[in-house]
Amino acid sequence: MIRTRDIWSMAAHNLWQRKLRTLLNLLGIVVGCVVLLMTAAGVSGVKNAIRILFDSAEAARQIGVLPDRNAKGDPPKDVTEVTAEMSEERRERIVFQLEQKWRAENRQPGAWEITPQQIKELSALPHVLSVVPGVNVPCVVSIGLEEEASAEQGETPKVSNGITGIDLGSSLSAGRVIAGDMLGSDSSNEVLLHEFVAYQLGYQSDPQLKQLLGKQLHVEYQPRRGSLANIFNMLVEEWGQLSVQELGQQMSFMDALHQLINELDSTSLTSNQKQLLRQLFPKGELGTPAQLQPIQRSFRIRGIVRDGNDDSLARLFRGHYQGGYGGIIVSSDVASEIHLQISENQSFHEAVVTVDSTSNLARVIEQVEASGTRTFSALRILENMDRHVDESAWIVLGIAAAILFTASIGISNTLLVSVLERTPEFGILKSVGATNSMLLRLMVCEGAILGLLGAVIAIVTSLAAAWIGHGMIRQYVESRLNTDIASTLFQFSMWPMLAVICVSVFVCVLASILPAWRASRLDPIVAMRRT
Amino acid sequence: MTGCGIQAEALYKSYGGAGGVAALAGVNCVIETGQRVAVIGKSGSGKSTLLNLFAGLDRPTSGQLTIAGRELHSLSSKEMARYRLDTVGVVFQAFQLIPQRTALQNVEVPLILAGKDRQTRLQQATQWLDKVGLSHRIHHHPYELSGGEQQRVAIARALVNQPKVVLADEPTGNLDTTTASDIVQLLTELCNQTQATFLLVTHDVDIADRLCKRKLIMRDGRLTEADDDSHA
Repeated sequence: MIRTRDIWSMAAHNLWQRKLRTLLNLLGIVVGCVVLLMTAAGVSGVKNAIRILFDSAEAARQIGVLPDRNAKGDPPKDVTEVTAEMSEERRERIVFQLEQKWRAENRQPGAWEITPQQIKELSALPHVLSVVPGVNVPCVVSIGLEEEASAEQGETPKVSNGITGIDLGSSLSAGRVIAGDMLGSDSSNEVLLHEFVAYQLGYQSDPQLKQLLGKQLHVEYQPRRGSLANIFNMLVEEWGQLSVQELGQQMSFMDALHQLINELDSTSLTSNQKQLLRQLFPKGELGTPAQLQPIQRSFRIRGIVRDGNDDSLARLFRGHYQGGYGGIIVSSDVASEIHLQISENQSFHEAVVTVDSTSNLARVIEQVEASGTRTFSALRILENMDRHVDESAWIVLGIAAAILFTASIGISNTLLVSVLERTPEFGILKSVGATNSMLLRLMVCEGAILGLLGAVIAIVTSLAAAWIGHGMIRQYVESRLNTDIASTLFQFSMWPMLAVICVSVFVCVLASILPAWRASRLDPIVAMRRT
Repeated sequence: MTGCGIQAEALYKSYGGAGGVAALAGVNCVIETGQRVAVIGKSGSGKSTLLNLFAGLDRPTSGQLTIAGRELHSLSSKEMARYRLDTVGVVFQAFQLIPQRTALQNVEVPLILAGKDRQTRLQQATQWLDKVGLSHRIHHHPYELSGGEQQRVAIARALVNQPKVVLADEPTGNLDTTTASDIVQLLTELCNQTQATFLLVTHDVDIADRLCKRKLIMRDGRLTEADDDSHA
């Protein structure tokens, strides 16, 4: 009985003897396999590149955390029951709206803020690098001048702005310093000043900016803002930075409101009106006049900063999460301390959680939300991108499959022609003792070798093409996104390669079965007559 | 000689189903083991059909055929292939060599099918090519060889598995007189060496006379002894 290795050897010999035909067959297989492999490698690589790109953009790893006042759990059934006749899609939309309405109407009292304890708990979560409470304290700043110089120059310019905190370990602030240094761990009495605040303070030329370094910055801020300050902002229709004059008006407004609530009984308001005002402004929230006295503090100017880099991908997310609140920048710890100093209920309106990797974003969000807060992050964007890449990949894989299918028809056709051409040879083989099954195996082996060889060539070609293509595509993508791509755009792993080999061999074996069957059924006498 | 090499009883072969052409119309013959026999007949007399049946390339329509102890009429397709591989060697008029393979590789084919290892194959194929006088042409393809050389390769291939029965279908039909004479000489020598049963199918009486003592005449699908035929 013929040895299996000799069948393989004969099959290889037959293919080698018909080089052109083998080459053409291989070409079809290689093209199909290359498209398959490059698609798989491209999808994997692009997803990984996006992941690394977003990981490098710290803001994409950040989660904005807000207190969630809405009611938890499921609403009672009768609340979300929709009996009217309508389409299922519309019914779902109405039920969703009813649920939202129920949650809003059943808000939890006292769940307005994030407490320092919650900040600690968030910091302790796995994969969390830092938690920075959101701080924006309106203030008036001025540069501390020597007495003589002050006397010569007259009134010291004052500018209104906001105090905000930054995470000292954050890369988001890197590159923003245009004069002096970034804050360090010993910077509890130091501040970074935004270049525009410096400009407003009269330090406009580049040399003047450098003169600011080391000078004292006087900061004046007032306790207790919150909803009262928001009401004022509504009245003056100003939601950005208030002018110094408006800040003064805000303080006067809060004093007046405080006095009104304290002397509510002596006013001629109706009892309903009094009750409503007491409900809206409980005494605890208004504070006392003593607490409303402005607080003054001085900081040494360590550096001058500009806004974040516009051409960085990080900009895509930054505006939402960090660093855009104020021009008076202190460390997060100092900012928290200032905030708590003026906040009666000792809590924050928001916090920013930084996670170690975007791949852990979903897990951390789940844990954060479990603590009764709501979040916003780039997760949806990342998931959408992954989904779009996957969808595109399926389209390309479909094209690759079509190419392979076409190639398999070509292979089948070529092998059929080959059987016709080699009819005398099969006749001779039969005349000297070849069995039907041996000829069948011989042809199937030829198909398998074609498939295997095609897949191997495709793998080598793909690796080479990826090496060349990576440089070109990287250059293009980096120029479009204005960012560096650290990883390779085509990521090859063992499984897709093995899958391509299997698919290729399978398709070729399948394509060779009909020709093989025909070859095995040949009548040796008839076959030899065609010599 | 002892034992029966080939035994045919009421062998019929017709083509085209019922009412078709009868190529063999009741062939009866007994050829002793080691005997050299020539079947002589005109074109279309049925001698090639008879050889195809003996070679296991075709099956009789009816009748019984036993060669080297094997009942060919009852063999399965796989057993028939085995019979062709190890019991019978056939030399064809048109040589029937595989053009893509060298002389050595052509002779190697039956050894590959027999499952011999590479070293044995090379040794035996080379040995047989040497016997047929082609040791200097072993790496040549058929198209690089003369007709006589090609037939020598075919003879080596037919004998390489040392078959018990050797069949030759007009082995000199495509050769010139001198070359044909050389081939006849070679076949005579090899048959003497191998002691195989030898059946020559030819229309050339001279070659039949030189190679075989016993001659059978094929006429209209029937086989008769040459002596009987001449008396008739």
